[in-house]
This record gives sequence, structure tokens and C-alpha cells, in this order.
Amino acid sequence: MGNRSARPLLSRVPAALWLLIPVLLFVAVFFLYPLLRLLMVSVPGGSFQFYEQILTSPVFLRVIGETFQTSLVVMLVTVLIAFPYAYAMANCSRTTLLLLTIALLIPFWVSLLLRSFSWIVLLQNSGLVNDMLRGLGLIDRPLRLIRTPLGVAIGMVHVLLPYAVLPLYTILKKIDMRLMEASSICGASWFHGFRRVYLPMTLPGIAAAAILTFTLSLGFYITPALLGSPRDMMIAQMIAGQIQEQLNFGLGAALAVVLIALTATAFGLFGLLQMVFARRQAKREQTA
Amino acid sequence: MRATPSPAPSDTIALQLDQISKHYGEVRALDDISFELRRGEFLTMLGPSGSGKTTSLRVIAGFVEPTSGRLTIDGRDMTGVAPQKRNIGMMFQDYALFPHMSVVENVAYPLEVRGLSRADRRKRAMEMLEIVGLAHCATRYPKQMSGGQQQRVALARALVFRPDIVLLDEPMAALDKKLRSQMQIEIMHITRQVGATVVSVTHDQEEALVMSDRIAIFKDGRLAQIGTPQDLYRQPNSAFVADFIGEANLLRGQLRQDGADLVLEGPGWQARLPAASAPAIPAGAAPCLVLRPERIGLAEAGSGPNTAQGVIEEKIYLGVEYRLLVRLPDGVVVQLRSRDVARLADLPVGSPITLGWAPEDIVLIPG
Repeated sequence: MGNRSARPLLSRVPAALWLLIPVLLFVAVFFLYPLLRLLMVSVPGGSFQFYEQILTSPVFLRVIGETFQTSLVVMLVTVLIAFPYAYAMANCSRTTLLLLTIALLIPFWVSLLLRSFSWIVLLQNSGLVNDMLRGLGLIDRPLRLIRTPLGVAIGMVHVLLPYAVLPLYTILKKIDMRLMEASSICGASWFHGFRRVYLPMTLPGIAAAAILTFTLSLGFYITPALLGSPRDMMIAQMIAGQIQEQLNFGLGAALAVVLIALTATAFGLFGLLQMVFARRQAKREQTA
Repeated sequence: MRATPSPAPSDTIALQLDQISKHYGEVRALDDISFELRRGEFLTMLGPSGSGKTTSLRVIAGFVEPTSGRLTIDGRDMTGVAPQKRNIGMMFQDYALFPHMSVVENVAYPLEVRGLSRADRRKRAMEMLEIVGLAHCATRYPKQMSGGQQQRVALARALVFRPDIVLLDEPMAALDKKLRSQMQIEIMHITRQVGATVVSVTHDQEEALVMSDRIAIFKDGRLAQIGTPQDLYRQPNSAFVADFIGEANLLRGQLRQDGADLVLEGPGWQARLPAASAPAIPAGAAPCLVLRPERIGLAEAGSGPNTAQGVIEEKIYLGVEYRLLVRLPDGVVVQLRSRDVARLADLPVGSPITLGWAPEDIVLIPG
């Protein structure tokens, strides 16, 4: 045993870890280093003036607040739409599953820019949606769908759906549907069984879907830029504005750091939640 | 070949299947199944896989809607009645316990659904756990328990709300062999204790014999025969049933009438029984003689009625008895168990032997 500590340090590294070196190098050069530079740019000469500016300016705070609000709404709507879709995927024939998967993934492979422009075509005042609603006599004047928070939310939900459906599907397909049969033969209505038996077992999937859609929402740039109005800007647009238009690199960098910090906090909270799930699960499985 | 159980007063009939059929396209999963179950009775549906026994169970539970026929529980027509409205308890093959609920929550679930107060359902769930001997495990979770314990939780959940019928789907399939015989007795005791009417499904004939008041044997979606274990063993109505319940020698031969006797004979053997005690054999049928191995003994040499001549092919000593395989002249092998240990010890493999049986042990089936 004494010999072991005498061996050179490098030979004690498991061989497989060497395979990670290219990735680690890449991340160090193209991600960690720029990130560090960003941090440094945001505190010129050790001064926190930009952070002070962000935290005292009502404009910045409002944009940050609205970014969170939009992301929260988008997360909720996405998960609510994704759940029945994933449920259908987990409980259908193979052919239907194939069709549902294709329907989910084809938009996923289409460029984000193209999809956002398509939504403009659909949602504009003389677009398909308004024409249809008018044709049905449901509205007299076109609804303002584009350049509104609603338009942004629609576009974002569309982009984010696969990110919510896929993690949900992996959890849902593992749930034994005989548990629902057991619930109904015990006398429970479908809804009761869904609430007491099925839903609790899907919580890890819901949490995974929520965290993905929420953190991705926080950094959305193209979709709100094209479908939203400048008045309801999201934080990523504001960063771009500072850097591209105001050429205020320091403030832009500080805003970016704030975005990273907030995303990390959200991620941490969700992670905590998942740890609680995992611990409860482990407690149920440990042999007494 | 529909068996009609002895008619019982309608107030004790818990379950009735009346000409139930289930077709999936061209496939007849169930074909004209009819039988009745009296209250408190333990019926096992027995058959090979694909014989329709599981489909029958799912029809009773309400998970499968029959193509035609009528199902009644306590006289109530169950057509179009959802599983949750049938007041049936069911123990699933792999138990289907809710993994995120503790044992007592699992058992209390049917009571929760029925709107009992928290205190009431806990009390009744605990009483039920007491009966299955798991009161000390109430706060554990299913995954923390052994297979046998999980099974008892599932049984408790199926019984706790005093259902009209309890269904057991392959109750022993997930248990190891040693635990099986123990749980067979235990489940039988528990269901009798609470007075449950039980329908069980299995492909294990021993399990069916141990647990059931009556057994329904399924073959190819049809009900081959239904009766008490003794009925099925002593009076099988087909070669399939004779072979499925216990061990059986099946001998095919020629039938003729000889005075007041009916004689079935083949190369080296002859069975003779009073025609009055024989079942009606339709003309032109190829009837079959069923002889149980333990009903065959050694006879004096020389051919006579109810004997068979053959050659010992194999001889296995089992302490209290010998297990013998005897080859008849036409190559058919008859197996028997004989306690005539002293005589058999001197007979080597290959020596000629004469077997005999009593006329009352003869079972004739139409073939």
C-alpha cells in the first residue's frame, strides 16, 4: 500500500480520463477563457460601476424581471402542452409513435431564423391566423399577435417543445400502465388515478422538462427580436444592444454575467429539487 | 362441449358468464364461454398460454369488452360497466403496487377512493395487513419488501374493500418454487377467512388442484371442462383434460359390445366394463382409455379382461414404490407406479410383464 502513493501522480489517473483531454482543452480555450475575459471586462480596473448601474436602473431591472416572467410563462405553457404529447407518444402504436416523433423533430431541425420568420407570416395582421379568425366571423379587426409578448411566447413555446417532450417521454414510457389498471380496479376514476398514481411518478420528467425550457428561455435572442416589440425586450437583446449599438462592452459584459448568474441560480434550485426526488426515491428502495 | 354446473339458487350466484366470446379480427380469443360461480367459491381457470384464461379474467375485470355474451355479477348486468364501478378486487401478476406509496397507503387506496375518512381507512387497512401478517411493515415501501411480502400487500389491497369478486392473475408466477407452495396454502386460508369469492388464473395444474373448489380448463379459447378437482381427475371428458390434470396413460383401441359388457381392446391389452356404467360413446368415434399410473398394478401372467401384456422398458426405484415404463406390442409405452416392491425387484429390464386394473378405474373418453 505504501508503494502506491510513491507512484508518479499521472499514472494514477484512470486511462479513460485521458480521452477527455481534447474536450477539456476545447472548453478551456473557447469557453472558459472568453468567460474569464468577459468577467474582467465587466469590472474595468476593479470597479463594479456597471453592476451598480444595472442594479439601480429601473430599465435594466424591468428587462430582467420581464425576462424571468416570460420564461416562467413559456416554461409552464410548454410543459403543459408537452405532457399530453409525451403521454400520447408513450402510449400509442409504433406507427403513431414514428409519426409523432417526426412531427416533433422536423421543426427541430429547421433553422431557428426560418421558424421565427414563418411565425411572422402566420401571425401578422394579414396572416393566416387572423384571416381565418376573420373568415369565421370571430373577430372584426385583426388581433395584434405580432410584436406583442403573446407572439414572443408562441414562438418560444414552439422552439422549446422538443426540449420538454423528449425528457418527459423517456420518463413516461417507463411507467407501467398496469398501475392505472390497478387503480381503476381499486375503484378509482381515471382522473383520480392520474392524480394519485400516474402524475406523482412523472415528477422527475416534469422537473427535467421545466428546467430545460426555463433556462433556455432566459437566453432567447432571435425569437423575441423578430416576434416581439422593442418595448418588451428580453435580457439577451439588451446585451446585444449594449455591445452592437452602444459599443458599451463593459455594461454588456456585466449584463451577460448577471444572466449567467441568474441562470445558474435557477439551475441550482431545480437541481436541489431533483436531489430531493432522488433522495425520496432512494429512501423507498433501500432495504429496511 | 359446454359444461353446465349443477343449478344453484340464483341468490348465491356471485358471477355468471353467459356465452361470452371475444374476437380479435379472425382470431377467436374466447369462444362461447359459460359458467357460474357461487358466493365464497374458489375457481381456478387453468390452461396453456393462449388458451383464453387470461382474456376471461380481463373480461370479468372489465378491461376487455366481450364481442358477444353477457356477464353478470350478483345478478347485475356488467355490459358497459367500467372496471372501477364493478366492485372487483384484483391481484396482478407482478402485483402492480404503487411504488410511491407506502404499504399501508397502497392497501388503503381502494378505501380512499370510496371516500372513507382518513382514520377509518387506516384502521381497516391495518386490520387487513394484520390478516396477511404484515402489520409491522405498514410504513415500508413496496421496493423494500420481498416478493412474497409484496404479494401479500397486493392481496390485502384486493380484499380490503370486501369486493364481490377477487381476481388473481397468475398469483404464483413471480415467486420462487419454495415460496409457491407456502403462499398457495396461505392465499387459500386468507381468502376463505374473509369469505371472498375468487377467480384465479394459472397454467400450473398443481396450484389449481391445491387451491380450488372447482377448476375450469381452457383450450384454444374454449372451456374444455369445468368441475371439482376430483371430477376432472376421475372423469375427464377429453384426452386433453386427462393429460392436463395429473399423469395419464391414453390408449386408443377398437370398441365392441360383448353381451352386457363394453370391450375396448388393442394389441396386447383389453379393457372390459359393464356397458351400463360407460359414458355414451357416439358411433364411429375413436374412443380412448384413460388409466392413471397409480391405478395400474401387476397381474398374473396370461391375457384376460383388464390386462395388458408388455415388456419392462425402464424401472426406477423410488423407495416406497417403483416407477415403471412398460412397452406394449405396438410400441405404446405405459407408465405406472407400483408398490409391489418385492416382486418387481426380481424382474430385470426387458422381461415380459402383465399389468392389470380394476374395471371401476377405467375411464373411457370419446377421443
